[in-house]
Amino acid sequence: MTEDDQIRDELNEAIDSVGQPRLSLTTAMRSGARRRWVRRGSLALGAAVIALPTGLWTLDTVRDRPRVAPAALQPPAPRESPGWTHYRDDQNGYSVSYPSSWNRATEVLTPALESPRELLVVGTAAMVPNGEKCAQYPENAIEAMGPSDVLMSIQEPATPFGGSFGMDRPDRFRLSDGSASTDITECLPESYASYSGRMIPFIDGGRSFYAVVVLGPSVSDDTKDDLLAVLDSLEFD
Amino acid sequence: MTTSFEDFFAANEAAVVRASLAFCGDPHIAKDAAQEAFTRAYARWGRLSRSDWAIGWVMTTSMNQCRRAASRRHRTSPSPLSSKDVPSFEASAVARADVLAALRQLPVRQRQAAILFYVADLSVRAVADVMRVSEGAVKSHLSAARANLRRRLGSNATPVDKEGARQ
Repeated sequence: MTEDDQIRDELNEAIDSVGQPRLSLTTAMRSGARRRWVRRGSLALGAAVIALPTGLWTLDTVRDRPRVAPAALQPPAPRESPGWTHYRDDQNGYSVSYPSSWNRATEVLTPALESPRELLVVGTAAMVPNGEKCAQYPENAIEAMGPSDVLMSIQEPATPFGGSFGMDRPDRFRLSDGSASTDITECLPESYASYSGRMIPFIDGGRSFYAVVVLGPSVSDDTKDDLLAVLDSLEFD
Repeated sequence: MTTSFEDFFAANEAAVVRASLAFCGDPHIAKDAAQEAFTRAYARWGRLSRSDWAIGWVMTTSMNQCRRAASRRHRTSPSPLSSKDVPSFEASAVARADVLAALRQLPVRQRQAAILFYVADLSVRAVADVMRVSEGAVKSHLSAARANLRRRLGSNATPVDKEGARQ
């Protein structure tokens, strides 16, 4: 027996004599997921603080494209429009309209997520529950997306945002709202590296929410407009 | 190559707890520190799962947490698990407590190297990766740790073969 072996045996015997506590996988995952959200939220807040004064909010995408009519004259969100489905969730206190060709999850896709909890997932691809790596995202549903698909999830934290975190819901959502969430694609295989995600924290009627938006790399402008219309159609009790 | 967090947790929970326990001696602090390390690991699992030093990261985080918590507690209470605290006159129990007490008296880097090598059973190369030092530095830390342990334990550990370190 070498000296190393002897030391190893003595140390391990000494540790065994103390008795080893067991850890909780659930606690690690729940607390870890919460911290990830807080960190993303902090980044979003930081981005907002930086971006607002410098006008960076005007740089992005669909909502910033020139409009034919001023925002005030835009048609209302398609609550009862033909080709759109209106859905009301009394238990969670909200309603939403989405294109009838889209899918809405009829079960919670992120069952391991406790806070925030998932209220709604809609998208153009199949709603596949669960996932292996990231409790906070509908990972399997995202993996079911094709390049031209979008997915949107609304999640509500158990504790409303405090202080200055989270912004009041905007009159109209934009895809430049919130912050880019590389975290979403990090949960997925490398083949999804070209997919993009955004996490938009907002406050509506005293309730706090995260809108998680995932876009494939080839999403059409029409689909992006539909996605924003879905977000704008949300009404909370 | 990525691993699910659940698999990673199942494979490494015991090793991380043992390392924390060896580092600070107090099972409550060790548990909290190890739990905190896994929580932090999950929060950044997207990146961590793709690295080959995830276990080293968790162990180092756990030991650092342990050190902070232990230093906070040290201000108000004596160090746990010295032989004086062992409620038994059984010689072996006292000796085991003294081994841990001697380990905890090592300088931090020596202690980290000794725990990663002897308790977590990492190779010298893996310990070097975790501690972000050269393999030579690890061997130096281990050599010093052995000498200090021998001295503190009154040559209880008999030198047999100093070339026992795995590469």
